[in-house]
Amino acid sequence: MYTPWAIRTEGLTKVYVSHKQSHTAVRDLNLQIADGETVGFLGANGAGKTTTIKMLLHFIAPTRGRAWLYDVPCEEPRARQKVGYMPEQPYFPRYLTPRELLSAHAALAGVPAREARHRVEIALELARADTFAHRPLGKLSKGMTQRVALAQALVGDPQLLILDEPASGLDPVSRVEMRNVLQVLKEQGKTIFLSSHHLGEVELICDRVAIIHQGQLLAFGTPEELTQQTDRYVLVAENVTPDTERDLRSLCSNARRDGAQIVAVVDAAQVYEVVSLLRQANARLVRLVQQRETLEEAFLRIVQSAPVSTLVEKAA
Amino acid sequence: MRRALFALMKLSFLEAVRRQILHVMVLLSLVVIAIAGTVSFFDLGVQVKIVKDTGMVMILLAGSLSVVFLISGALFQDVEQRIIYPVLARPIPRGLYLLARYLGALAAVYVGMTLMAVTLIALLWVHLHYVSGLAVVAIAFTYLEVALVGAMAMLLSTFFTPAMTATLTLFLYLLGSLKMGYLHHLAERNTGFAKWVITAVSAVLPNMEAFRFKDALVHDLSVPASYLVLVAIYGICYSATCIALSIWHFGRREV
Repeated sequence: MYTPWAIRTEGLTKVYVSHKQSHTAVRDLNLQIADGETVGFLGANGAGKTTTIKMLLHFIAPTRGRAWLYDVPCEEPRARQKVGYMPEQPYFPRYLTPRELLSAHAALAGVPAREARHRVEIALELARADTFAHRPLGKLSKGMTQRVALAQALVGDPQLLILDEPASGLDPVSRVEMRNVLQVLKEQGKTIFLSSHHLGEVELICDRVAIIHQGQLLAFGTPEELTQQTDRYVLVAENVTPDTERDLRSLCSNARRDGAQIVAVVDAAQVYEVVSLLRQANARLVRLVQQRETLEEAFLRIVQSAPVSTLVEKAA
Repeated sequence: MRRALFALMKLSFLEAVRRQILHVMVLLSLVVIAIAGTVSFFDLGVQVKIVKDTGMVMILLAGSLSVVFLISGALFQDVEQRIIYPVLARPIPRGLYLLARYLGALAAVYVGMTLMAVTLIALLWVHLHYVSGLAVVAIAFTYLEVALVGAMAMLLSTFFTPAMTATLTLFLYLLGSLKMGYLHHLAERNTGFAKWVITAVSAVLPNMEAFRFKDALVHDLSVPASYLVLVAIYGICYSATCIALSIWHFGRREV
């Protein structure tokens, strides 16, 4: 059975021209995101993440290339039929309450009138915005407004969620709550396109990750595909005496006690020496595995190894 | 689509009725109309003329200024404050958003104008114990004139900043309020390119004078029904053209 891509772009390019100079915000972006996938869209500030999202939602027109949402060209309003969008730093009319705002968005999303109230309550509850749904939006904190923005995106029960920095400016507790909501949505089979700076969160919930830098897609794959094995090993040992522990710390300063065990990250060059030390002290080696990069390390490696390009050219 | 239009119109209306400019305009006009109707320095005939004159001027002035200031900044503010993004991410054409923004703001202005109109009619009733049909017609055409001014402001707001939009709309409004006869007379007195320019300007400028039946009302003159129909068609077509052009331009704009 043919299943359309939730998001598909072909050579998507956006060039801004001002003061006789052109700036390529996004260059030849090719993406294919399957229905039900959770994809993290990573990049530094100004990398082209928001510009890409704006082109997908047709807020701006691409200079070249095309984009489709569920096989419908982005320039057509019906392409957004299955979309829920949460903007970065959302602003809403200050005098409305979250419930009033969501009722309006339910109508805009095409939710039948008889279902609207029910959908509004479900969205408020899912985004954990139900406790302040009666207060004017102008009186809500940033974290509360972010939750309302998420509820607004969810009210039409969309199959595709485009979230632009959903955890931006949130405190750690709210960030965890936001992540939990996204996890629930992922389990419901929603397609999530998540633009974010928080690489740890992306690593935890995303199936695939796209890394964009200076408008160019540098890498697109699963976190396992993007991260590499390092030349470090994680070592876990038991029955380590205080004297041996002291010797171990002199070899690798990051060694720490975790209950009855000692955990240390050891450089490849020191592995033989550390293992010999433990054997001589009759300690028990529980585990010794090669360490993988974190997504953050992989991101930095990929971005730093990218060719330097200013992407600012004289306009023709 | 109709539900979406009404939902957006409601938001636009709720925002507009909260704006201080509307409150001030309506309140000031009500005070002036009330003063004209209650302070009696003249004999009844003159007083009624003054009530009609002042009432019609205040309804038009307050309605026109309110609609210009409410609509001039609406789109610009929505884009600058990024309020527009979650709305445009919905499966609705941009034109619907613009239309709803216009109709919602216009409805808010109409609420204010209706308060003034009711006050004016009540005062006329107190003085004359009847209200002529022409009073209602004159007020209705003031509503149409305000709708046209609002449509012009909406069109200009897709190109310019709020201050520039308001200035240009008021400028065009004043130009359109000049007697069109003067322009025709001027065209006849010129030849060649100058004549062509004057004719083009008089054709493009809205003829605001056409909507004004204040003098007929004050002097109890009758207006042919066929003329009223023509003016109504002119007003509706002009406003619709402005809105259609706004939709066309806004649909191509990057936000």
